[in-house]
Amino acid sequence: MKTENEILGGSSPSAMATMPPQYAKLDEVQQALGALRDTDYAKLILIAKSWCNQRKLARSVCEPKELLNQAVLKTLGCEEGKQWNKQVTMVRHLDRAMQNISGHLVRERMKIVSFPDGLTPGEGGGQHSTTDDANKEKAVVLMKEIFGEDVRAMDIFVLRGQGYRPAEIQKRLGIDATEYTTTNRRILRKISTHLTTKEK
Amino acid sequence: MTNGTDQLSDTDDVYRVMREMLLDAPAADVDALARDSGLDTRNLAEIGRNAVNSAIAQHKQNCEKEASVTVLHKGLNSLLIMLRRRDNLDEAELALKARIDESEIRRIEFDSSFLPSPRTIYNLEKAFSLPSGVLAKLSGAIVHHSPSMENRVMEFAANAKSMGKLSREEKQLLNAFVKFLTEQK
Repeated sequence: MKTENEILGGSSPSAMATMPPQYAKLDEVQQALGALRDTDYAKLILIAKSWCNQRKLARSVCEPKELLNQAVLKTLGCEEGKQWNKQVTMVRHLDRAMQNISGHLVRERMKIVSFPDGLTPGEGGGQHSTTDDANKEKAVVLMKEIFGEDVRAMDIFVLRGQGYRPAEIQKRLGIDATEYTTTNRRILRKISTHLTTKEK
Repeated sequence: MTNGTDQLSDTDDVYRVMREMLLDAPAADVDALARDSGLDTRNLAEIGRNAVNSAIAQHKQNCEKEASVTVLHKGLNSLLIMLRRRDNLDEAELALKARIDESEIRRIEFDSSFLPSPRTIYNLEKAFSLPSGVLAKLSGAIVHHSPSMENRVMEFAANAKSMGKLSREEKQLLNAFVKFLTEQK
């Protein structure tokens, strides 16, 4: 059985940047959804959990499986929903759809929060006046939660976040391809464990 | 490089990288998660598959419902035209009698996606002296209907003409259809 990438001809982000979007028709969307494999489903649920955690969505507001469900429904809506550009994989597309939906849920939540003295969000000081340092500190705490004392994993993770490619990361850290691959798998395990144990 | 954590600006950044790594992970590495860390990947996949399949089923249901409402609206278009012809009313006269906007009547007659307001439906029923709820059954306001109703509505819409005075056959067709709608629960 062919993988989703083989069927859809996955493209690199740099190649995609120059190509005009090719939006799929409903039958193509259905075919791509039908081509998803167990590993894709597992990734999608982990990604859905990451959006729920990041947006601090309580289970009563949106569960990860509901977020994924809504993303698929929006994609099946084609022109009235979130159109799938066939140049990106279906998994990546659904990630973006979940980003939009979870962002919308947060905006809805903001609307119903009352602010004292007629203040609008961002003017109130207190919890909304977090500085860059405080944000960085929160990132450090989260990274420690995920990686513990695994400094090598943290370094690779941060460099990935800064856009470095595997070969560049290996060069910067002075490690070989084997160590890079092993650490990458460890990172994946730690991320997955974090997302499945830290339910909101 | 031992304190790289300083270089991710906030938790959003951390989550972004998490997702990038998940998206890029080879299938074999995801498969290996169960063996290496005891993660129940089979259960995760099951939850994901159910979420996707339920959305596909929901979408199919929505499409069927939409198609069904379109059929009912076609029935409403045809019925309104036939009733106007029966009572020898043009659109302006009906608008005056039912105290609704003339453009709304035109939309009901020609736009099968248009959903008239409950007030409009109520006023039209009164204007044509129809039993209460007859037009509402075709407006989409009442969602549940018997499986045979769509066939009957399509049959009526196909036989209804939009010009001239009603013939005896058309009157019979109209009366039978109104009776049918009245009997529908």
